[in-house]
Amino acid sequence: MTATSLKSAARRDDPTLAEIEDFVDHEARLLDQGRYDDWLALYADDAYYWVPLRPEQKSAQDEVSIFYDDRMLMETRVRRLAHAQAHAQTPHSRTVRVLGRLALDAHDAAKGEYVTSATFMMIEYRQGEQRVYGGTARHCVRRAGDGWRIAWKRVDLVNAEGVHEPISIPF
Amino acid sequence: MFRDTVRFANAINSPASAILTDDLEVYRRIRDGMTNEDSEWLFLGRGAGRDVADNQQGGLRGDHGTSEIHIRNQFKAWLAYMSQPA
Repeated sequence: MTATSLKSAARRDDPTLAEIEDFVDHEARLLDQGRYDDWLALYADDAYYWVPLRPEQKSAQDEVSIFYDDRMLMETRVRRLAHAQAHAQTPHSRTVRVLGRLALDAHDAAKGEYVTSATFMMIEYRQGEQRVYGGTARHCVRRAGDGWRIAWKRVDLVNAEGVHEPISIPF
Repeated sequence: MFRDTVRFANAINSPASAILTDDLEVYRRIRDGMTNEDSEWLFLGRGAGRDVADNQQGGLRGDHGTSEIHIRNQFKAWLAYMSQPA
């Protein structure tokens, strides 16, 4: 996208950024509460959800990723999480997410899209084991009606290329 | 072709694969179960009684993908070989 860098914009004075921060925060709450259908509804029809395998990764098509879901795969994933025989989620994980301060990285006025980034931590507990994930979550959002929709989300884990235990819950 | 392979690897082999995560969970449960010394038997009855005739190759085949008929068949063959007179 042809992006205008707004990194130096004062966040507190930017009502749009504050709005997006509320929206991104809301997404994290929905995931923590296991409200996956509501979570999915935040995403545009042409959205994708991407967790690359390495931080410098440029392409999800030419290299493997930890997650690379289009809308259809996201729906499949959400259906599975609700399925009684999803063994890896019987019992379900309990998670809490802590988001860092949201920064506005780019604004594409023509498309009406904003790209933001924030560090995050997710603590997951399941069957006696606690795991910690951390990284940077980037969102590209656009207005839809009186709210927002996510056009894409990219999550770069600090240990992206490390060895992972099975991951069931999106970050 | 290459991109299909990448998509397939994501879906099947990623640590976040919806398929692999369930498999690994089941392997872990089986491993835990194997450490139990109270039970000396493995249950291989999945699909038993529902297997159907294979008209092309003869014999039986499972009526769904997770029937354990092939394992039962192996044990049946093993028993037959082992009980043949020398």
